[in-house]
Amino acid sequence: MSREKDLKALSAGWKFAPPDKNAWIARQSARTGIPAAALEKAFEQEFSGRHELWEELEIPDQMRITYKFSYGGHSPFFRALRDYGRLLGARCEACDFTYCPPRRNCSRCYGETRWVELPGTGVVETFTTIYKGPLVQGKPKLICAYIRLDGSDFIVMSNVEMQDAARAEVGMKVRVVMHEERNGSFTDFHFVPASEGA
Amino acid sequence: MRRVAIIGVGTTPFRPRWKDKTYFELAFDAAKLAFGDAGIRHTDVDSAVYGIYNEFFQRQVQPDLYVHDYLGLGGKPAMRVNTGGATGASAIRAGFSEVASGMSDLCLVLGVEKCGDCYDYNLHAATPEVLKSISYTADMTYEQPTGRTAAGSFALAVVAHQRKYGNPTEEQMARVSVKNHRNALLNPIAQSPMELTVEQVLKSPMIAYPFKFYDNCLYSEGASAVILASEEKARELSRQLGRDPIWITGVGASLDYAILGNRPNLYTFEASREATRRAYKMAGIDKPVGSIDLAELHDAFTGTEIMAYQDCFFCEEGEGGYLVDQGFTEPNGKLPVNISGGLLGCGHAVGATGIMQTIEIVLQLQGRAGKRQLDAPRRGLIQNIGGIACAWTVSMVLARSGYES
Repeated sequence: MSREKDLKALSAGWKFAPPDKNAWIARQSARTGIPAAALEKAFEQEFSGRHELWEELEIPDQMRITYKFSYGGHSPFFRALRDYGRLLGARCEACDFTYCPPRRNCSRCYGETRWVELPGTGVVETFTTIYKGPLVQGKPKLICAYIRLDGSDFIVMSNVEMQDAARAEVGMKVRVVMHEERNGSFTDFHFVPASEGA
Repeated sequence: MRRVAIIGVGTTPFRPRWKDKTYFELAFDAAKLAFGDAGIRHTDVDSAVYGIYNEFFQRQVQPDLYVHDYLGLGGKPAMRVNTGGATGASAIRAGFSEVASGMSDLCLVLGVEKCGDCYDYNLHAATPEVLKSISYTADMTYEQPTGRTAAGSFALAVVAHQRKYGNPTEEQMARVSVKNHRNALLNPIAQSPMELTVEQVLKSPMIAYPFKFYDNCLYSEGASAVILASEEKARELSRQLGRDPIWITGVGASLDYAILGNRPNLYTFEASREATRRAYKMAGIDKPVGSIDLAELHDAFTGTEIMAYQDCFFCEEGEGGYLVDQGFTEPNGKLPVNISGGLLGCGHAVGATGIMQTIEIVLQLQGRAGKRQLDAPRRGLIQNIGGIACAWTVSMVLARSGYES
């Protein structure tokens, strides 16, 4: 309380004039990349009645980096995926262990791997259905599953789409569906139950 | 290796948001409390370890720089530790090494986290940006794009565990939620103290199957600190303080494979088992039930607390759910778990959480736990986990004088 009193005394006679709303919003939007329409409420919160020195001041801000990310030695996997719609694995030449997600180097025996094409069928090892998360706005449910792919000794995290999401289960047989538009990302495909038609 | 004691503790309450404090101001509050509790000045410490998880939460890369500066510790050796949810106990483990090795006699270990400044201006809520910040911990090439959340990564393991062993059931998980939220009613630092019913938990909205809203802890802001001391320093300060120090008798850590294809199975948390084995071995504990009088286990999700019962060897593999049925871990049970309220009741201020768990055990062993004080506990266990489906675990055994082994 005494801190407020001090600040009131310090600012006695100071004049507060709120900034022009549209100019402020345009400036913050340009600074942060936040759409102007989304900043209306922030302006109201920050400038309708709030100007005493002891009131916490909140500013729109952001930390954002863009990348030209190189897949390095994993590039053949993403080339096969994006440019040809094919799913590759990597088999260790020394110990025969097959990775998908692929690896150039075998983490088990330190051997080198070579590329092999996988049939794109597999079995759900475990799953969860996401109801709240960054990708779930608008989508009612998102099934994330660990799938053991045929021809691979590894498991992949991928999305499963099915007619009745409540029937997702461990042990379910699935097959890959490549997307028409592919970005060179691990979400260029998803899985569907093997029992559901094309 | 020298013996290491905890000589002072301090924590801020955990809250959804401390709008009136920055992360370094929160850190200052916890540090000041801990220095006061230990009866020392900040200049007395030889070194510091800072536990801070997420750069995006703090809106600052390398936030430890600014905590160290604000605490007035310039020139002293210090480092930041970050092992996700296990950051707090990992920071204590680093401080333990500092003192046990003889490099420091007094070491400040401080954890802090402030996530509530994250804000989605389109949805007018913090949570979407908080979840996005956390999601970047998932492998960015092969897992993060699928939209699996942190809750999802633990849910995947709990589903695998359920299918293998038939438990934990959704009702058993709900009972853990009721227990921990209720325990928090007696803890003045808790963010979510409340009386819930099993039915309310079961009917709360689904977050990540099989976790419903009340199966999940809430994200928090807060800071917690402990002062670690060598035996000689601890004895000297104890005489001045008129109370016994608490000894760290066992510390164990493990980092499992984060890409789950490398794990032998998906239904146990081997990191937890390995870390706890190591902690028991150092502490000379063969049979935890009967030796450990209370435990703070990482209940970010109800299902992970139940899996922790087996991972901390309170029961055989796959029998965790039955301990819930028996009331084994209730405050009046044989081995009370999360008497503080745990993460479900207190909240999860990530970098501070493992230190908050540790402080609860210290206060209980010293008889300073107020209304939630148990009857003269001798030894306590802390299990603090983090990362993709429990990649990291740090477990610690604490004991009061006379019960070090």
